[in-house]
Amino acid sequence: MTATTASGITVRPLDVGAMVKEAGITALVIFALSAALVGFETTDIPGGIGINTRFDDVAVVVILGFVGRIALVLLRQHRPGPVLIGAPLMAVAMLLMLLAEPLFGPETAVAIAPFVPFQDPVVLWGLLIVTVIILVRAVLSRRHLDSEETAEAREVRMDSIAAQVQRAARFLGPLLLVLAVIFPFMPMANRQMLDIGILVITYIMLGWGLNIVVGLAGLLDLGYVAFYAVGAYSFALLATYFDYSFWICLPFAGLMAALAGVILGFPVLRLRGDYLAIVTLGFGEMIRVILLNWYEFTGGPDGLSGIPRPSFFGIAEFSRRSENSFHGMFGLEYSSLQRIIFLYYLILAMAMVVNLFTMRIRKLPISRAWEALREDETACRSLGINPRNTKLTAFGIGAMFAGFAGSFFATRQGFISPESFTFIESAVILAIVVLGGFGSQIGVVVAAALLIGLPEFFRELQQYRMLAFGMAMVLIMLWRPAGLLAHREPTIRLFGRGGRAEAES
Amino acid sequence: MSAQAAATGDMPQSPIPGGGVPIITVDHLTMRFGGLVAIDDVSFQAATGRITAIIGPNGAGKTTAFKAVTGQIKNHAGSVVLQGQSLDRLSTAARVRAGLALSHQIVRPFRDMTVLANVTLAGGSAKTAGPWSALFHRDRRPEEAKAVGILARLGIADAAQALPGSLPLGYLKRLEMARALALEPTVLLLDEPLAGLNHLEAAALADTIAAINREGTAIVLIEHNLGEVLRVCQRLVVLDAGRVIAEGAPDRVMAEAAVQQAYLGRREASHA
Amino acid sequence: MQDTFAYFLDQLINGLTLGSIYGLIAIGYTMVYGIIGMINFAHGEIFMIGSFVAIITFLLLGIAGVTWIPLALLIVLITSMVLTSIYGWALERVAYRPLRGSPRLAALITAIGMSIFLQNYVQLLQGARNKPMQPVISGGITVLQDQDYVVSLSYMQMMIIVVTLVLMTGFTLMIARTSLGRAQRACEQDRNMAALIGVNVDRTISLTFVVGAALASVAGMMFLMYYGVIDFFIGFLAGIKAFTAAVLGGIGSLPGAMLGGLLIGLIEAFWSGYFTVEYKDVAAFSILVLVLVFRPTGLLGKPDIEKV
Repeated sequence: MTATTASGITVRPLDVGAMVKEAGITALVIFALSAALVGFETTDIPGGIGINTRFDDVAVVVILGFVGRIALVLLRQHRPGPVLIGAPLMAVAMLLMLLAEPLFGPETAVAIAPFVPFQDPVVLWGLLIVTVIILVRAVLSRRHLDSEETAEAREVRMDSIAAQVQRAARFLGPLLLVLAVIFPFMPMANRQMLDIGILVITYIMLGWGLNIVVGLAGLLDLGYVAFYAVGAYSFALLATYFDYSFWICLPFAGLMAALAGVILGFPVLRLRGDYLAIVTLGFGEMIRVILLNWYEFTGGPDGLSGIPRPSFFGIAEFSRRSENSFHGMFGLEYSSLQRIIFLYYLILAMAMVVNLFTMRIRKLPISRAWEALREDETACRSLGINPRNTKLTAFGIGAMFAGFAGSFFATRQGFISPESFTFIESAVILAIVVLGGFGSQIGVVVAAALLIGLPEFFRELQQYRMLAFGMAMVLIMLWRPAGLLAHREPTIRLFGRGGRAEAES
Repeated sequence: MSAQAAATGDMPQSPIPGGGVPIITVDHLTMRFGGLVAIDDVSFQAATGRITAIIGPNGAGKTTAFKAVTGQIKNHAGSVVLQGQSLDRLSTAARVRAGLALSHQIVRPFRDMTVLANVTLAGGSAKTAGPWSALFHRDRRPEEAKAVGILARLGIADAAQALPGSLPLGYLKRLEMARALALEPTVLLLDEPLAGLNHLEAAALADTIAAINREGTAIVLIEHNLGEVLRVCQRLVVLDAGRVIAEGAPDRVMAEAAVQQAYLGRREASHA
Repeated sequence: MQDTFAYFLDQLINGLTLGSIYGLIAIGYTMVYGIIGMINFAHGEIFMIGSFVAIITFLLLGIAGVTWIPLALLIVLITSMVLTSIYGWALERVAYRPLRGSPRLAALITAIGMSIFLQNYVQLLQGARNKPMQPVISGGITVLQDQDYVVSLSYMQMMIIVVTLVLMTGFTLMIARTSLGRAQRACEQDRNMAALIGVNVDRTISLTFVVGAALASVAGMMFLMYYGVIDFFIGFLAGIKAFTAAVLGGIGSLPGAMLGGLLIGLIEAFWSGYFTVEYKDVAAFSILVLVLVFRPTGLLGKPDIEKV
């Protein structure tokens, strides 16, 4: 019996056998995937490794896979009823397990502990989030029986959301900037908060820099951290060997990184996108291996230490005993926080330079050439655009900003070693750009705050950070390959800003 | 047109204009690309032992309709029923295994394989359906023998061992058809099989198509060569701007004013 | 010492052993690239998972008291191939299939995401430390003795080379003779057309991932037995080198992948033996860059066709 709802969606009779079969296959696959790696844990014992079993965890994930698949099948067939009952029950059960201690006291928590799956509560929290997402989908599908919207319709909807975010960014951006500027004087701004702030802004700056290469020019650079490293090492070497100050070394470091970008980019920028990505990855690793092994020059794995801290624009020093000290000059009490705050403003200013530069260059012809190159290289050649030089510009500019960020990193840490410049760093920066939506400035800020800031606050999440990065990259590509907040604004408008609304209506 | 569509929808087994029992029914097919409606509520049927020709000016949506029927593009509305089985939720490969075959207007041979290998592959493609048969099916002499027979029938047996890249278009068009035939379809969709052939070749191939049809395969044909179309086909469907404007026995359809104006009129005008 | 033939022979044996492992991984890269035109960046992780499944099975067999080595090896081989190929299948099904028809870079970013995910998944489940294992096969034969320099060929090395030869022969036959191989070639050339002649394209692609993962898992198992230690990160470098091998041989070409694997293994062994061990990775990366810049089709590759 086939019923058709008012909204025109056909609700077919439920084939229980097929549903159980589908869920059973899912459970079987999950069992095969988890049997070895989840079911057994290799542990260190004296003289080798031993093995622990975790069969209970395997059982739990298999059952959850089965139930979850049934829920998805029901949603797909527009029968949210059982999900609306089951999902809240499961969510409540999970919450009770997670919050047993604060709610019912430690005795209860100990008593139920054997029944709580997974050693780490973070896994359970993750499953709780998944359950809630399924529940939300069920509620939505109940409301308008329309969970199966077409890809086109979703794209249009997401694009309009992204457009709203971008419009909001015009007000949100300055607001965030003001917040960032007054942040060090807020009462909660202690040393730890400032350090996290500096870290997040460093990644925002790196994200914006990579955004020029990946977002605007469409060149996937998997070795971006190499230029970060070149900047950091150039700065450290110049500062320690020649004793130049931060303010002299900074432009040099940026230039060195840009030069490295141009030299490395020159031979490879004519390669097709995915090959280019792998080659840049190779370059990144090569530079790291060289830094690791060129002992006389770079200190090898020991790295370089004793990198001078920045002075107050060369006028004053941030030290307790100095002839022209910062606190002496401004008649303040000495505080070690002064240098941190200075570093904070320094990276904020540097990041804003990148941001302004990007906003500016977007309006220039070179940006339009990048955009065109992203779409069709052959067509660009026939328009007289030199693809290599155009790409090289993007590559060089991106590298330069990474170099600046690298110098900042070196002067802030006072110590650098090749360990800070692994592929994982490149992947993190790329994840920020991807998550933020290629080309979206505000998206990078949000993504950096989420990916860098959040795990800093919740240390328990630290070990799940990269797992979540990987998963987020996959989910975003599956959901919206253009990037979460990507929105195509026309570069040039025929009638100025007002014109588009008329054209749309 | 809507009255006719309703009639066929209600009584799918009734004889259709032009004779025969319908084997494939295309119902209210609609296909949009962005804002452009490429085919708009198109319905037609084809019958066992009959050749149905779809004609219409360029851009009328003929090839698009074929692509939607074979599932290469997803239609926005409408359904395709083959021998009482709905094809709507099936992949292209599954539709082909259910009995459809398509020969393209623009030839698409596998260029790294010989002509014979191309046809043999099609003959044995059902073996890729399951993982076990895909991995352990090795003997393909039956498929090869069948392929040789088809090549001979279409008159390209002499090129069996040649690579497609070295062959003239006339051969490739027939290879395209040979590959479709190797699937032993119940409904064969031919997209301009005669285009690019000279007069004699076209007439010979049209005869072969008619012979294949007499052996029981239902054939749906897109063709601009009206002379051959009117010689071999029993039913005509005329598309214009994505809509069916006429359907039925060829002589009756060709006499309709709308067809003359939309199809022939415009054509003559452009030739003049 | 470096100029003796014995030393050369020693490096040759090392290079062939290493190259066999790279070659087995490289086949997975090249097959996937051939059929859907994407770089399966997570393939190195599949290799790593294979080695972890192998070490767990070895440990369990030790507890179960299976001491007859051929039987133990067979059980580990089969377990590792089956469980790892399910990872390969799931990877394609979950992460890549929905992206079919998307731009190359979207697929590549997904693959990088999966690679990061799988690495950390194994790290979380199995810990970040090295996992050492006692040698399962020991001993060997002396090939050559030059004064006090002994060149020996261990049974382990022999096994690696023989297993690789057997697998590659079987695999080549499979591609040449079975329906899967023919369907793969059809999909490589024209996926839509292949579907139109009834080839189940999705299943063919799935099977490609399964076969690639099975071969990588054998490589993982042999890596574990040869080096005696693994960790969650081995997939990254091995993956890049195997990809380099696939590019060097001509991506999309199966004999190319095998040849490239052997060459990369030999280059690495000789570079380490005659120049410096430290820069052996730089040598591999330089080859990758040089091949891509000067001969993107590799040694045995065909000219590039646009896909995806």
